[in-house]
Amino acid sequence: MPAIIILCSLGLLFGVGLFIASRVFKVYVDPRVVSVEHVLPGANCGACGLAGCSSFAKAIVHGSAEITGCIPGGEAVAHLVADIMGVEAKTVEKDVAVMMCHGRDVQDRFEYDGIKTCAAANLIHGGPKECSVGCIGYGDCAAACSFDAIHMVDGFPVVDESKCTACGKCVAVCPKRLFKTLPVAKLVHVGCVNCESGKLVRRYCKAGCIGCKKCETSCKFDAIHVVNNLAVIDYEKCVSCGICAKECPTGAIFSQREVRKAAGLWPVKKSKEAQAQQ
Amino acid sequence: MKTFSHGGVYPPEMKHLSKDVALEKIAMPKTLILPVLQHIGSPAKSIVSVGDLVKKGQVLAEASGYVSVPVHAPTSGEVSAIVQRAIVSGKVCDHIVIEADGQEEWLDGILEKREWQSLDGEEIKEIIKNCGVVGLGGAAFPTHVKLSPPEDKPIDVLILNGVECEPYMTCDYRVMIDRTKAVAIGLRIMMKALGVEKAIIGVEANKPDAFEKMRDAVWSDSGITAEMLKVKYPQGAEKQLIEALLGREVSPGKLPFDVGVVVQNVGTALAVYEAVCEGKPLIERAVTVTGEGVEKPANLVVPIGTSVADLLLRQGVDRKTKKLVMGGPMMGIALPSADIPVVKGTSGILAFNKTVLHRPGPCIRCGKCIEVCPLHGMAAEMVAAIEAGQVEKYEHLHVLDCVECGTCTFACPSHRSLVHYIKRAKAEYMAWKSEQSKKK
Amino acid sequence: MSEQLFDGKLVVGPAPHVATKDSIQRIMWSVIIALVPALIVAAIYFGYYALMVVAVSMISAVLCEAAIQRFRGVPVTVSDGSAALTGLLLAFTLPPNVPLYLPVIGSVFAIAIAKQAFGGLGFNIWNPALAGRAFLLAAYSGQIVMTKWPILSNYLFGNITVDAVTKATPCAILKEAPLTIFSHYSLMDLFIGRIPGSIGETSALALIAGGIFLIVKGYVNWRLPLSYIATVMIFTVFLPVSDGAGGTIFLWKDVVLQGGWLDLVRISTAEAFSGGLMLGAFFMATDMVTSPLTGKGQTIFGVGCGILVALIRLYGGYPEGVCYSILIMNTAVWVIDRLTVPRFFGVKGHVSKDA
Repeated sequence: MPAIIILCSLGLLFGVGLFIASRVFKVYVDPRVVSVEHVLPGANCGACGLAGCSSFAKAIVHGSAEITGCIPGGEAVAHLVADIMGVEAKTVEKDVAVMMCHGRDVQDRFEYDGIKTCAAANLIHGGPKECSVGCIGYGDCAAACSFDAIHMVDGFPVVDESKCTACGKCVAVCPKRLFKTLPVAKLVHVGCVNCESGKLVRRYCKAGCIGCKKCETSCKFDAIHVVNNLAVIDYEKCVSCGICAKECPTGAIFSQREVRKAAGLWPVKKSKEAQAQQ
Repeated sequence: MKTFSHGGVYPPEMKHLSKDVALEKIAMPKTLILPVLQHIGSPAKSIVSVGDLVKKGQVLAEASGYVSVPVHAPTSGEVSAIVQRAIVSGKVCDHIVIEADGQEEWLDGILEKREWQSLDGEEIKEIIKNCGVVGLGGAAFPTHVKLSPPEDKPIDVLILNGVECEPYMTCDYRVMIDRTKAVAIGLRIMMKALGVEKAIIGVEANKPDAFEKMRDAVWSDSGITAEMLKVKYPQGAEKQLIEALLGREVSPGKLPFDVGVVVQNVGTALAVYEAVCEGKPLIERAVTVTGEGVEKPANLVVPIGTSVADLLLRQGVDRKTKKLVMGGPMMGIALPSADIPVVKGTSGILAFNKTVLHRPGPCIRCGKCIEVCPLHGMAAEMVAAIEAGQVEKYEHLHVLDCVECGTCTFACPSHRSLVHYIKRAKAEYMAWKSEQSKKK
Repeated sequence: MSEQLFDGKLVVGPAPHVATKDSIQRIMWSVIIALVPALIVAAIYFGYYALMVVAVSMISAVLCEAAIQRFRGVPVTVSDGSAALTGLLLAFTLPPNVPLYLPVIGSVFAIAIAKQAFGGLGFNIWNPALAGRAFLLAAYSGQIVMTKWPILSNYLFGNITVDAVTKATPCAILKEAPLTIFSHYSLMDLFIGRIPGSIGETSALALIAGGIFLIVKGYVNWRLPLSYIATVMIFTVFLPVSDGAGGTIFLWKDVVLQGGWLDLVRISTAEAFSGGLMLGAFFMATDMVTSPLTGKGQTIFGVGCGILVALIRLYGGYPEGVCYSILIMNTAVWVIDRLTVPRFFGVKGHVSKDA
């Protein structure tokens, strides 16, 4: 009997104590922070530049972060956040990560015996591949992607563009800097970064740019030029017509038109505000 | 016998393969490839063009800046090409290709016999710089810079490094035996350039004959002594050598001049003698070609720019060679092919016909890496942080202060590539640091 | 490009290009070899049944690890000998007439829960063999904790049911009436192993020999067993103990008064030789994965284990405390590692602990 009384009074005492503490030590949290955090994707990927979704929510309410700062969330999230904060949201164009190397079948010039990550292999003579500036293939990009959008197929990365949120992790992690995030409307890209002469490139990579300039001569918009044996696209001028990709003899230049059409990513649907503006 | 206080490993010495082969000069090869970056510092700037005819000892690329030295033509001939290639460390720079004409004609007036005692410190350093002399122990730091420490760091001792702690390597050993007098004179010249009166020659106990020869060569110099050191890797590393001989510890991020010491290799002393007393620029050096894959291991005097393939063909190499290393087995760089030129920092070429591929296991927390690290670092903790990607911790864990001597990786029973992790982490940290400063 | 000098591609990897001949396999099998003397003593005094217990334990540990690694989809690494070693050590901590299903359960627990669930070799916090023993102690305490043990007369590979003699273990005697220890067992009995106890813990001679072998090989740091055993020896004679008649005495006072310092040393040594201390100090506490990284840390670890053993043996509910002392100190290893960071070369003063 005395034990029951003691335990009950202890319970009562602690309950009252906790109640008082929850009042006295209460931290005021703006309710908007909770609502904003609720609509964010919750992946804590860091693309906004902050430590995680809750930090980003606090920063938005505080006013130190852009409403459109959540890149993976894209337009949908930007609108929801704008509604909570009671402001107009600018339209956000979906970006996508593109891999600027097509050298799937490049052979090794030596047997690499070290830590099997791209970052580590890059320290040893630029990696074991014959092409010293192209993809090494150990999958640091796939490991870094928190949206499961990159998969290694036969030792070569493939981007699943419908899952890709352009958070930029792959861009930062690739030691050869082969990834770029570009608007989804830009369909044509050069899948090679090798500046060596075409004769040398041809020896080890069938899909590399040989600097033949067929693209440059066929472009009607002055948007592609061969600089240092490598074709480079000026995205300001490029309209994604795809002619250079058709002319390219090695397939180094490619167009994502069919892939993105099939995935429903292209043509880009304009948001209601943009349509209303027109 | 003196030694450094903490850590160290005992890899099999394997010096018997080549130690009894006296230095031998090789015939001038037909083609020489000379990178303009063969030293620590800014690359030299090429001053020749394709088609130029050059004489032996002529400047091909001049020094660009203070921490830089010129590159000279090892023979007379024609500049057949200037190409952009990567040197073994990965940096890309101009490579000047010379086709030898077989005449070996020296540039007029360049060879000059001088009395070094009549020169003052500044004159000596000027000659050393103009002759392109760099540290021949492997790091290739411009010697004239090393001999000019900052004003506020007084130097009281010059240490001559005859330790050669890397297994297989015997070029420094042969230099001490075959060119004793020249090395001793080079040492005296460097002492004058630095303005010090005390010098210690450090030699490992596995070279007793070299030790005796060096000691006898300097017995009449009141300020120079020779000390024998216990055989332990990495006794030849600067910091460990200073600690063993003088008991002084160089702090992380600091250099030997912060404790009043300058360390120079015996090969460098020889190059200094040849530059000052004979006017000869640095166009050749002693290289040990050895390893189980080499038929006739030897210590050769090789013109800078000779292709490794030429050396291997001369000494005979096993076709089943699996690994080629430039330098010693503990810190040397594995080569992807034999078409790489010998540069100023090349002390040896190793050919291994057997190699065990790494099959690393998990860290079993045995603590061996900590036991053997000569800098008292905790490699296991570093690698755990590196694997977790905790960049902010690297500085505190002293990841950046690792000299990559390789003792931890050598001793690890799990065969984990610890030095490789640390190398990667250093690059990661630099990128992270620059991003941090950009944000600010 | 010059002609092809070599058949095939060169191997290129980071420096260094030579390595020690040591490997995890070598270490584990060396420890197993070091335990063979103790195994021989067990065979002599406890008969072939003890060998069966050992075999069953080792086999179930190895099979369990192989099965789990297959299930996890990771490479099967049983050839490195670590599972076999765990099985062996676990068997050594069990009584010589334990029913054969208990070492199987214990091994499975040790490997599956205490090792593989944490991530496999190198990731576990607690010594798996001791964790297995602690589990068996808790779940089947009747068959594990016995204060009377069968002992065989001295012939090799005899049958345990013949000529069985029950006697109290030295630990039990030291707990109840320490001053009477030598009327039951001589110091030589304790040293050689002519005493009741668990399969592998009885012979101090065999275990010390194995321990010295490992120390010479460099796999065990002498600081750990020395600090562990010394701490136990000192604390058990300097703390108050019961005298077998309901009162408390200080051994160092009474023994010295009655028989002199030599007698005190003899009782202290008896304390060191009895129970699982020798096995624990040389083979369990020294398990690389679960002990501190540095020598200084291992000394602290040894002292901590020693104090706990003394407290449990003198005042605790069990006559033997080695198993729990090591498991408790395993939990503190990460703190010890933080506190014993060596001074980096050239850095003056104490290293800050905020990493």
